[in-house]
Order: sequence, then structure tokens, then C-alpha cells
Amino acid sequence: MLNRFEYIKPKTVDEVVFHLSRLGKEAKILAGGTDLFVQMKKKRASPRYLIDVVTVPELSQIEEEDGEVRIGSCVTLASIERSTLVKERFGSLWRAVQGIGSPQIRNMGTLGGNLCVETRCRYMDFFHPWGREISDKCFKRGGNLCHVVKGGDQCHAVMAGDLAGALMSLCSRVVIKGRSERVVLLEDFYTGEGKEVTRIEPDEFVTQIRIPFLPPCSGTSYLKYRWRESLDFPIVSAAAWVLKGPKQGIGEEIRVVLGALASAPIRLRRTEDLLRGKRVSDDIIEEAVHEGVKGIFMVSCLGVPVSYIRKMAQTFAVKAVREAYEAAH
Amino acid sequence: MKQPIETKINGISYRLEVEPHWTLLELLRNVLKLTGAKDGCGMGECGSCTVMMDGRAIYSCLTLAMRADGREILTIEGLAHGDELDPVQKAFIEHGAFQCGYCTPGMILSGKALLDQNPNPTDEEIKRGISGNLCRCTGYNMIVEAIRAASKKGVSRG
Amino acid sequence: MADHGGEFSAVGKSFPRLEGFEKVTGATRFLTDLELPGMLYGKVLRSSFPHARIISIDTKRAEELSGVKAVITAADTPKIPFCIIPRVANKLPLEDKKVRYIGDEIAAVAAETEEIASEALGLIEVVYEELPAVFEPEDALKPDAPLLYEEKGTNIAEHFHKEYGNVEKGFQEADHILDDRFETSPVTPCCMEPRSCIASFDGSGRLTLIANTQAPFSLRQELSKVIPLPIKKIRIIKLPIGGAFGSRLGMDSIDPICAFLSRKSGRPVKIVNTREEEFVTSRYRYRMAIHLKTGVKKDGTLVAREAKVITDNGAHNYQGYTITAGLCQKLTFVYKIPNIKFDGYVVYTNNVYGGAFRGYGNPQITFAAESHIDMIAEKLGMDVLDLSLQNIVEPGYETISNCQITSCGLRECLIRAADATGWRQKRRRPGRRGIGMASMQHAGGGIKIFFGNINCNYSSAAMKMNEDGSVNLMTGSSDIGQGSDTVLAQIAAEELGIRFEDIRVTTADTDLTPMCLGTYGDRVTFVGGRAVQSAARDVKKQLLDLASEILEANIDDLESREGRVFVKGSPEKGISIPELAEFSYFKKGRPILGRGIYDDPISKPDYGTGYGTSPAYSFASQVAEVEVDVETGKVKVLRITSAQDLGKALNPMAVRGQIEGAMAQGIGSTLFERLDWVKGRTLNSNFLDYRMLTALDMPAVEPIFIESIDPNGPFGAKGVGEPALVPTAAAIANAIYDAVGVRIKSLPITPDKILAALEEKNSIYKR
Repeated sequence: MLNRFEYIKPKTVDEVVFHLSRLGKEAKILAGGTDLFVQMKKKRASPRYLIDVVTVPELSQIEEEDGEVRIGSCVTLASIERSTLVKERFGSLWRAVQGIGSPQIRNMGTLGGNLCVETRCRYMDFFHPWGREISDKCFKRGGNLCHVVKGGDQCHAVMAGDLAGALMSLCSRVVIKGRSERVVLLEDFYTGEGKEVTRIEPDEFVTQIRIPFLPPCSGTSYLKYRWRESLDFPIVSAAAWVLKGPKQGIGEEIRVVLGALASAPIRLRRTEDLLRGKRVSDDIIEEAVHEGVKGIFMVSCLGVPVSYIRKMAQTFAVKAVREAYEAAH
Repeated sequence: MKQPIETKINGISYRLEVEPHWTLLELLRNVLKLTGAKDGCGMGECGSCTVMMDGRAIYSCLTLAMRADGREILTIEGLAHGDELDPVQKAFIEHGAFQCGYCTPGMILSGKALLDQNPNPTDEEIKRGISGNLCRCTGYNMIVEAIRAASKKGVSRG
Repeated sequence: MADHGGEFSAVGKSFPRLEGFEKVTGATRFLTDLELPGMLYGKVLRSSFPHARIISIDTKRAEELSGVKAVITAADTPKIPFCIIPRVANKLPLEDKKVRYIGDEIAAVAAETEEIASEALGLIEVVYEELPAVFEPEDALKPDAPLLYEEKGTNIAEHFHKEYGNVEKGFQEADHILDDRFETSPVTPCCMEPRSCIASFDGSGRLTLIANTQAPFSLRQELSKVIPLPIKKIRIIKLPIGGAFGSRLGMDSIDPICAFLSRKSGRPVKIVNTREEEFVTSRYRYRMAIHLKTGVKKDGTLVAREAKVITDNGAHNYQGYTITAGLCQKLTFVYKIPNIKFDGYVVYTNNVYGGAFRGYGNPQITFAAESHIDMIAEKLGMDVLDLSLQNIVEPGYETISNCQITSCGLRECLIRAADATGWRQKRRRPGRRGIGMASMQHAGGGIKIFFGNINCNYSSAAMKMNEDGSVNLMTGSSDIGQGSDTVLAQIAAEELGIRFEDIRVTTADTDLTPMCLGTYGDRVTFVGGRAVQSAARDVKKQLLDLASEILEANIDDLESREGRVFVKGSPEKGISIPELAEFSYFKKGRPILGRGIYDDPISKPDYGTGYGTSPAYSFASQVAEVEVDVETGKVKVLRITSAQDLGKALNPMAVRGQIEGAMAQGIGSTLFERLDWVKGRTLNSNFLDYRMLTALDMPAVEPIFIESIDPNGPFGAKGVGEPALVPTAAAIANAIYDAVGVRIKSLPITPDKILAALEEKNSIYKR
């Protein structure tokens, strides 16, 4: 059962902003509901107001403008999957959306919702069996400890949404509307911390994603590693974009992003620096990825040993990079 | 405070007063007594609550009743025409595609939703179409055969 | 036994399910769909600590909440412990002094709505004194371990020891001895319908409990002791049930709790588990640590087996003992091994307690035993197929554990499974693909198992023919989704000689249906089927009597088939059964009524283990083909072929469904499924974190029916529900070894385990 709330159904973006500005933290944006309602049913969120934005027309468009594709935050995942524009021009995004959840989730869930999906950790409800508080709450739940990293000083819950990594590798920007509108790089949208996952004020919400059209000779890849072939979030996801240079085997520009390892997708900048402009081989890629992955702090909070996650991060980052190089032509 | 909605369920128009915090599943089961859709997990993970909204399969346990306003809902009870079963329903019986039957309403609707979009799916596409519906009894292969058989009989009626 | 000569008219055919129309239209009323007038909603307050003394429970604020009609604690109950094996009962429906696992029931509320009931739970104030807890059986065995039952002085709930032959001598004769430790994880049934019940009392104080149960008569017994109420004051009704798989064999706390709430409030009460409660409190497959030692001669003769098993019993007694003790019998299965020694330790921990889940210990022990057979074959340089064929049991063999094997198609199972998969060509090929095999034996007709205080294995049925020649069949067997109602109707139709379409089946209502012990141990087809046959024969005799009068023929010259009684050899000289029925009801003035009882005379009880023998045994051989991704350790199951000796497939479509469904569960528990317990908390109490198979995970499977035609089963049939998941873990583990040379001895075989094993193997080579 959901907690009781007041239901607001604005018709325009301005109306959404109006309600957010007066209600702030008491309200939550409702789009697909596939994450929000799970959080509410698990008593991790109990907003007094829900602002249903899914039928605001401005938020459900896919348009091309200024050399970008602009996808409204309420475009459903299924619509993105059906979009030939996305499939042909942004292969990694298409691949990422294909594997999300299940057909029903994709019919209901939205781009904005997936970008803002809550972080996950099996210990979040550790203090809370049958609705009773019995021990210490973790950081995510308003307490001051972490059950996974003993003595830790922040929440390490994992952000495992599929689209963020793919979109980051595509140099996407996110449009946030509040009293004013700002457009930020997607990688700057995430805090990197598990409790307050996104840099967004209570009176703001995500309206749109803007993805620049890829220059010709681009290759993209998205790999989602999980144990079941449906429903599961990734254990690790890897997205890459390579812009082939004039010479064979050299990437003029490269992005590599790993997801589901931490509280935000992680750009492997070190790996990118080592590969950019250089002639690559399997060994060079392997080594460059290793340099990028080694510094990442990973935790085991979702039932998979951390040493294994680390190996998979290496394996799939390498695969994604190689695939992107091969796709760039 | 209850709010009014107008919705069409299984071809019948309703004007209903619903609490904002009700899910569509609760509306169907508790108010309209359409108990075909099941509350298997409440979290959108098992699929037993699957119904169709405007032609698309959704998890009714994660959908607000308010969302049904202005939409068309199809539940398992609305699939047959009197005694005449939908091809997917017939195929499920003929191919032994259910055992305990608890997941069956949701499974059939996912099958129908798939065939409505893709009348001639491959087996892989069928599996993908039902990949959001858990079944503990059958092992799925006989369900896939049933949906395949229904697809060859012609498009599922709408 | 009925004459099997000639073609059958009803059995052996894939009739669609009797309840098919209702199930595909959503018309089936499961318990969770049911509402009674005036019904209240019940919710249970469960322990927040794995081990604690209950100092006080204050329900005042909950009672005062508007809409709450009853609040109960142990003080409102007679505090009688329950267990499906009564002599070891130590679980109270509501605990009063101590809680021993997170989930232990301590109070309950009945209110006008679910919302109010949930709110009321939050208002019950419990003061606990936390106690040190223990979660691993090995820790629970240490001398300084916290005790769950102080008065017992130990955490060993039971120790069972048995020997056959002379194991020491056997090992002396062995040329090779393998000694390995195998581990399994707790695996939960994931019934799609959460466990639920509705209790109501009539004006005379008679209780009707609508329950998700596999054994209504057994439940009636248990409730009668715990409420307490005389048997005649209890009615149990089982409705269509959304899955059971063994977990709903005995009473669960919510059954008496619901009754207590109903009695106190004076209204019907319904309790439905949340999905989280399902994951945390369901009866599940016990986890075991199995030390197995097997001795073999260099010519391939198996000579001795010694096993030490430690079962994590959880916090209370349920079926841990019978399942563990029953493993000894299973060690004598499949192969002729003259010397067996068994020690089973059932150990208390502050985890939830387990129960029966499809296989009853056989999946765990077969994982160990059949892995060992594969390892032995390698040691001897033999093909495991040949090693198996050399040692397997055969028709007519009696095991050293007094299990009399009648029909046995195991040899054919092995050969057919091997042929169908191209075994010889694929085995030990280079590359990442592998093929592995495992065999099993299981009860095929129920077991002489404890019921109340006696060991028995029986069923009974009643059959009435209506004036139009249609038949109502009533029996206490429970159709838990496997299609037993349909199969019993087929048996009735075949035996009686009427059409399948003319039978209606009513089952599992203790007021309306004759006693059957329940659905477990693969017994319904066999024992339930024989009882139905017996009832059908009773009715048939009445029909033939009438017909002989009308046709002026000798009774021995008559037969009945597909709705007609006629003279053998002259079918035109006959009369339709509807006409006979009409004649009996309207001219003769006599109703037609039959009864049947089958009390299995073949199997023997075992008072030591509580787990006796069976009247027939089912066999299966499974071959799994896998591909291992050596970069990730992920296993892709390419195909599993299961040749299963089921006596006779009475309904091939239903049988196929049972085999494939079991295999899906077998694959799941081998590769993906595990309840993740940390400090007594179930961390993965949802369908996202507990990974049961989705449609995209299920590989191609090929069931092969081996029909050995059992001499005692109805039309030759034996049980089929459990066998197909028993050998799966070993078949896959053996296939993985064949593929990449690593032997994983703990379940589930997750990719991280394989990757770690591969790295260790490769590092050995690098040294």
C-alpha cells in the first residue's frame, strides 16, 4: 500500500515549476512510477504530494535542434526503443534502453526516471524488519553509519540505471528547470555519493536530455553484464564512444563510462587520456583500462563479491572500448 | 480525498471516485472485483498484475488508479467474447501453458500485447515479450509454444 | 489389476486441464481473491531480532485504534507447540517467552481494512532483551555457542546414525577412496500466490479454515491439537492454490493465528502474507553441508559410502529431522552399494526454519553423490555412463535399506539420455562446452511417513453417478497446480468406461471428500489414483449388474468403455451408461454410489527415521550441456535432456509440464538461487534480488518418457513431480567440469565461483 498523498496533475512545465516551488521537499515528481512507487512501498519515501508530469506535452517530445537530439524526460523507455532515430544514430543508447527491466517496465518507465533512479543497496533496510527500528540507520536512511563500509563516512549505494552511462559517453547534457533553467553536462548532474544522488534542488526537475549528433566515423558500444537475462539491473555496465581519427587504429576522441560500480557512473578519464590519439592494440586497451579502473572504490552491497565486480569492470570496459573502436568507421 | 476519473475497462465506461494513493491493481481487485490481475509482489517484479492500458502491457501494481483517467484498460476478464476465447487463451489450454494458473492472466495479456505489436514473432521475441512475467510452475517453454501457436492462427482480437 | 490389453480411451492422452477455461479467463478464485461477508484483515507482528527474550508486549494502543477488532498475543492461546512431526514440536503459533529468528510470530491484529491492521501493528510495543545469536551450524556446534533451547543443553536438535553392512571393511576393499565436502544453500519455493488463509467460526463454534494447503486432513489434525478443537469441529477447504511445491504441506503459524483472531473478533478473518513475508517465512529447502566418502574398486564396483551431513535446522523443528534421516535411505539408491554409514546432525541456528521443498533432501544428497560418481569415473579412466550402467539397480532389486524396487527403467533412462545427446561424441571435447550426466531415484508412490502418530500411506475416494450418467468424483487429494484433478478424472474415466468429459472432480474439502493424506512424495497419481480406481470399480460393478439384467448377459461377458456397456466382442449388443443410470434412478429406484480405498500394502514404515519405503520408485537420468564463458564464469545451459521413468504417462502434456517446471527450478537452484542471510536478515526478500528463472533464462529442455509400466501403479503409472529437479545440480556441475575442468562443490554455482576456480587452476599451471 502506498502512503496517502495529494495528487497534482499540471498541464504545462510552468505549472510543474509553480507547484515545486511552493511544495519543495514535500513533493515528488511522478513520471513512470516504476522506481518511485517501489521506494514508497518500501517506506524509503513518503511524499505528501505527487506531481504527475507524464502527460505534460512538452516533456514527451523527441526533437532535433541545433545539432542535437532532445528527448523529453517523460518519453517512455519503450518509445526510445521504438525510435529509429535513436537506433540508427545513437546505438549505445538504443542498446542500453533495450535491456532495461521488462516490457512492462519499458512501457511505463521514462528517460528522466531512469536517470534519477534511486541508488541500491541490500543493507538499506537492515535496521527495519517488519516496520520496526531495531538498530542503527545507515546514511541513506538518515543515520550516520554504513553497514557495508564499516567506519565509512558516506553512503556507497550503487546507481545502476542503464541510461546514465550510455548518455554520459555520448556527451549528453541534462536540462533542469526550476525558477530558472540550467543545462549541465550529465556527468556533472551526479554527486558521486549514494544518499543525495543528483545535483538538483527540491524546486527543480529534469525536463530534457540533449545529445549532440555524433560526428561521422563514430563508434559506440553499450554492454550490460548481469546474471539473469531479464529484470536484473547490471552488475556492471560499460559504455564507450570512439571517434576514429584519419589514421587507422587511432581514436581521435574517446569516452569510456562504467556504470553500477558506484553511486554515479564513472568516466574512466585516465583510460581515455592513455588511448586518445594513440594507435591501439588489445594489450594497450587492456592496460589503459586497468589504469582507469584500479583507482575506483567499489563495494559489495548487492550480493556479488567485490573482487569479482572489479574483474568484470575490467573485462567489460575492455570489451566496450574494443567494440567502439571496431564500430568506428 | 477521493477524486473522480472516467475510464473504460474491458469496453465498459466507468465514472469512479478513487483515492489518489490507490494503485490500479487495488482499484481493479478491491473496488471492481476484477480479481484476474494478482498481487504477487507489489513491486513490479513478478508480472502477475499485468494488464493492458491503451494497448500496452503495464504493471498495475505500480500504476495509480488516477492514471486510468481517460484511458482504456483491458484485463483478462475482458479478453474473451462471451464463451469465445481469444486465440491466446485457447492456445494456453491446448498447449498446457499453465499449471497453478496464478501467473496466467498476466502471462496471457503479455502474450497478447506482444502479438498485437508483432503478429509473427520469433521464439526469442516471444520470450522477450513475456520476460516480465515470472512463472514458477511451467518452465516457460510450453508458454512460448502456446503463444507461437496463437500467432500462427492469426492476429489476437482486439 | 485392470487388463491393459488394447488401447486406452482416457489415460495416456493429453486431455486439457479440467479447470482450463477458468484459469485462462481469470475466473478461478484463488484464496487471495476471496472475500467473505463481514471479513476482517489480519496481520502478524513478527520478531525484529534473531534471538531475544520477550520481556513485555503492550497491545493497548493497537486495541484502541478505530477499526481494530481483535489483538492477540500468546496469552490468548493455549500455547501448544506444533510440528508436522508432532513428537519434536517446539514452535508456538505465537511465541511468548523467546523469539529465535527474525520473523518469529509474537502478536496479531484483525481490523476492518489492511491499512488499519498495518497501522495497528506499528502500535504494538514490544520490549525485547536481545540475546547473542548464532547463524552458522558449525558455529552452533561450538561449545560456547549461544543455545536456542537452554533446557536442551545443545544446539543439536537431533543426531541420526545408521549403518548397513560394514563400511570399514568396504573401504579396505576399495582401490580408490574419494572424500569431499559439498554445500548447498537455502532455496525458497517462490510460490506466485503468497501463503494465506481465511478462518471463520459458525454459531456452534465450528471452525472453517480455507487454507493454502497440500494436505487438508493433516492440517485438520494439526489445528485440532493447537486450537484445540475436536476434529469434528473443524473443516478445512483447499481452493485452487497458486503453487506449493512442498512448502505448504504442514501447518504454518498463520493458520492457527487466523483462527484465534476469528474466534476473538467473532468475524471471518483473512491473512495474506506480503511477498517479503513469503521470502522470509516460507518453508524452504534446508541447507546442508555434506561430507561424502565413496570407495570404489579399480574395476568400477562401488563398495562403500559414508556420509556426514550437517543440516541447518533453523530455529524450530519442522521437517529437518525426517529429511536428514531420510538421506540415509537415499544413499542406498541408484547403485548397488553394500556398505553405507550415515551420520546426520540437525542443528539449531537463529535462521528461519525450513521444510519440504520438492525433493525432500534428494536434491542436496544427489548433488554430492552424483558429483562423486563423475569424479570416480575420471579417477578410474572410465566413462561415467559405463560406470553408472555397471552399478545401477534393476527391476526386482531390494536395496539394503529394504526399499523394494518393482518397475525400474533406469538403464533405459541412462541409455536414452546418452543417445539423445550424442554423449560419447561430445564428452571430453576441447573448448568451452561440456556435457555432464547425473541419475536419481525417488519415491514414486508416496512414502510410509509419519502422519499424526502412525506411519501410513493411503487415500480414499467416493464416486457418485448422476441420473444422466455423469459422475462426481470426490477425493481428498490436493491439486496444487500439477493437474492431479485432471489425471484422477482420466483414471476414473478409463477404469469406469465413461468419457473424460462426463466427470466432475471435487477435492480437498474435509467435509465433502474422503480422506487422503495429501500431496507429497509424488503420491497422488499412485495412491490417489489407486483409490479412484477402486471407487470406479465399485461403480462399474453396479453398472454391469444393471446391464447384465437388461441385456440378459453374463456379467463376465460385459465390458464398459467410453460411455457404453456392451458384450465383449459384440459391441452392438449393449446399452449406454446414461441409459443405465436413468434406469437405476427412475425404474430400479437405486442411486449409484461407489467407494474406494487404497492402503498401500507394499511399503514399510521406518520408526527410526520416520521416513519409510515407497510402493514404487521413479528414476531419471539427466544430461546437461553447457557453455562456460571463461572471462566471466557465466554458465550458459545449452540443453538439458531428462529421461524419466514414470511408469506410464497418464497425461503426456501434464507430465511434460511437471518435468519442465521441475527442471526450471533445478537450474535455478543450481546457478542462481540462494536466500542471502546476514545476521538472520534475509537480504534478498524480493523477486529482483532473489533470482528465479525468467523466460529468457530457460534453455531448451527435452523430456523423454520411459514407461516401465509399474505392476502396482494405476495403469502402470508412478509419480513424476519431484524427480526432474533432483539430478540437475550434479548434471550441470559435471558438465562444467567437462567444459573447463573446474569442480564446484557448493550451490549455487555462481559465475564468481567459477572464475575464482579457473584462476586457481590456471595459477597452478603457471607455477
